[in-house]
Amino acid sequence: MRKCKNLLCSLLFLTILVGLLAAGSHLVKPKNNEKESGMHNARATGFLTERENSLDYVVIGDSETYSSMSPMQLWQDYGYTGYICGTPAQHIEDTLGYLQEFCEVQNPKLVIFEANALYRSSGIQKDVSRILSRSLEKTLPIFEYHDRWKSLSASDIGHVNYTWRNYLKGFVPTWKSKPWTGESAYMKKTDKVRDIQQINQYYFGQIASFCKERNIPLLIVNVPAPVNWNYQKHNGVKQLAKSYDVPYYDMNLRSEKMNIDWNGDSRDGGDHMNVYGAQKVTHFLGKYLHKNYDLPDHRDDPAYSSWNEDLEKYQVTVAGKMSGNS
Amino acid sequence: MTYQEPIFLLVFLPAVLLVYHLMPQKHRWKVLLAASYVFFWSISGKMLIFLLLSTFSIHHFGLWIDTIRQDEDAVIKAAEKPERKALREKKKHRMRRVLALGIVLHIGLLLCLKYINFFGTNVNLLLGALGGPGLFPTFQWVLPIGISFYTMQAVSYLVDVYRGTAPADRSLGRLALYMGFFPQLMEGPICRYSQTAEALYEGRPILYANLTSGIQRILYGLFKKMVIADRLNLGVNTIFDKYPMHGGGVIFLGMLAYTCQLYMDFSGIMDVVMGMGEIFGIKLPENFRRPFFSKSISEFWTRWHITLGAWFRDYIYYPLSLSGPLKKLTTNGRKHLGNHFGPLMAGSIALFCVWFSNGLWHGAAWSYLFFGMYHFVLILLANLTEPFTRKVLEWLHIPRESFGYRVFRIVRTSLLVCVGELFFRANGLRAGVRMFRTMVTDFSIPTLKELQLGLDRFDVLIVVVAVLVVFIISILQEKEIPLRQTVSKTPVVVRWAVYYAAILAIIFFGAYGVGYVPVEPMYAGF
Repeated sequence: MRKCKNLLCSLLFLTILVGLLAAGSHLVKPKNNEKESGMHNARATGFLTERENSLDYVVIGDSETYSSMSPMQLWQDYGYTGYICGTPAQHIEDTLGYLQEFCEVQNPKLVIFEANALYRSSGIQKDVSRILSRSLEKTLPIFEYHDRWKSLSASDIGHVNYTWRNYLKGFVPTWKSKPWTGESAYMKKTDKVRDIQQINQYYFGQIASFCKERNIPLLIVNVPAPVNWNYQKHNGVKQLAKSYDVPYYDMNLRSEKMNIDWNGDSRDGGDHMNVYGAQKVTHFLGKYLHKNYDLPDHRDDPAYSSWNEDLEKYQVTVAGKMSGNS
Repeated sequence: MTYQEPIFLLVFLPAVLLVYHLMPQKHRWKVLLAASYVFFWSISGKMLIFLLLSTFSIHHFGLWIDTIRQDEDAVIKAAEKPERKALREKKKHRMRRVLALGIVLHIGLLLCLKYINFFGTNVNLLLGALGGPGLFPTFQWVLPIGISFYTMQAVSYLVDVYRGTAPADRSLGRLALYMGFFPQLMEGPICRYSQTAEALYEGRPILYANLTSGIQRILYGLFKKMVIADRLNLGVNTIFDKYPMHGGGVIFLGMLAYTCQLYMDFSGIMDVVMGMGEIFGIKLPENFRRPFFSKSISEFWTRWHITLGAWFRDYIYYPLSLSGPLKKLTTNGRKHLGNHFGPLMAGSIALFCVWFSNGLWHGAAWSYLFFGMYHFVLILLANLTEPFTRKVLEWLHIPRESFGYRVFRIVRTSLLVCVGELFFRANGLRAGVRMFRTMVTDFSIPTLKELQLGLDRFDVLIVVVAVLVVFIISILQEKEIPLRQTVSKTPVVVRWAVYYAAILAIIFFGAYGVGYVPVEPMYAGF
């Protein structure tokens, strides 16, 4: 009897606690998707304010994505609409999270996965710990946004209202330039394979299954990044892609063809592209997508007029500045 | 995975508790042992091998000592009376040799892993100064977490078996659990075999009262660690890492903040550890007893890291003080210097060894050795000046137990401790000396901005309020008011409100997640 009472008491205590945490989560969760409202990685969540089912592709992955690919350039050249959900040092479980969140409001016709994150691991123990912590943060946002108590206002009692639109669609142009001083032929052919951590393989499997269930083609790419990439990693991703029957397009093997100038196209010595490198990568990617995928051209569609308005801004702040500098 | 992480508190610990609870009592120790090794693997990976080696080795050495004792006792029993004394000596000698071998192996491994680079670097520097080439290579290896703690437990077990105060355990499982019980693996407390081994092996049931009481203690520990210590971390690092940019006032503030951070971190984690012990029905030895209410440095060390101090007392101070040469020195001292100063000489030699070891135990660096010597000198000075102090107080008509004098002693002791912690935290002994010099020679009142230690006003507010909460609780504990029992006896609405407030305070005001650098339990690094 006493045991039963204790059990009931514990359950009631926990139920109230979960209720309090849920209420707290609602309170501290940012009510807008901009940085000023406290949203973490706000740039990657700009798709939340795009018209529902208006985006044709999504790019997922780490900082290589937003440094190397410009959706507005793809819009300008081909009329494709898309968004980059990349964040710095993104772990692959977050990559899956962003894809799922994106697909709640969009119905993309292509998912482009930049594979650098596949080799990001802090060791299995820390990876498991981090994944569990992230799951907790996603279930109860109070654990992610608890520090927002410092900036709470009366409006935080209300509902979320996402209003921030990102005219760069997730792209981050960087004008800095730092040459890559290593060998330009950094992709030395080898049969050796760099293993991918089991947990990362599992999450890639989740991404592949998610796309398959929704009939969304998945494309794995790697953008040129000699600091991060080599042939062993290429072989590792190639094996993984083959096992899931997913196409793999490694631009590191084509950096000469892409005319990448390692003296001027990288912002940080071969780790990431700058805006000039990004222009070349995007141009090359655009050609590949045009050739291999049947993505629609929306440039003359009045429903997408806002993209042309965004393009004007992009031309002033990015494209115009580039042609001015060159 | 560390004790304050969600994965530990919300996944690992509940899972262990559940499996432990469902398991028949005689198998529960296996759950604890398996959980302990999983936990150790999660923090130290393959370094688990060192813990296993230590465990196997003390099991073997313990039985070896016991076998000698039994064999020799049988011989002594059978021998004629006049021969017995010599045989007893022989037994002691044989047992002592095995004990020495066991201790050398354990301490040798610790010395090798922890101090070899320090030794090699300093010898090379010395040789370099003399114009010779460096002789010793430096090694890049990671120290197994907790090795300083479980090595102390291993040595204490062997000595206790030798002394006959602990039985030589035939059960490897029980010994393994004594060495590796997961709550105490990272930061102690340093337990004796007789304190925990049997209780851990027993597989006591998880009682509702123990569960709630343990959770209370865990919450209090998390509050100290996550709300205060981890929040102060940013400010402390800013000051200590960029000390040349700051004046004496800011360094003084940094010194106080670091001492507060260290106390809240270490004692907070200890509260979490004690709480976990309570849940399993294990009474682990306390490691803290409100040290900043101490009236002298000696008293401070009976309230701060109590189990380390007790270990040094029982396994270094007493054996040395009671050794033949020092006993002789004490006798001679009494004859020539009187009853106060006479025993001080021998006592000081033992005390020096204790503080030299204490300094080195904390880490292989000159700053830690200085830290040990600093406390040695303070205690020695207090001992030497005691008669003088007594006379001055009598002359000034100041009662020793008066409130004012007690407060003066508490403040003085706390300040002396803080100065020691300044050297302890400084990035090397040289930096410590420079910081101390700046503090003394270039003291200026910090500006309001400097007072914030690089934290925003909300952080400062939280730290101040939280420290006040801990201070009030400490005063009540010091007055021996049973706070936890009082809370437990309040009506359920009030009690639950207190628990919810504590949980939400930790979740809302804890310094974790985006914008904060995760701070591992600070003593795990020692």
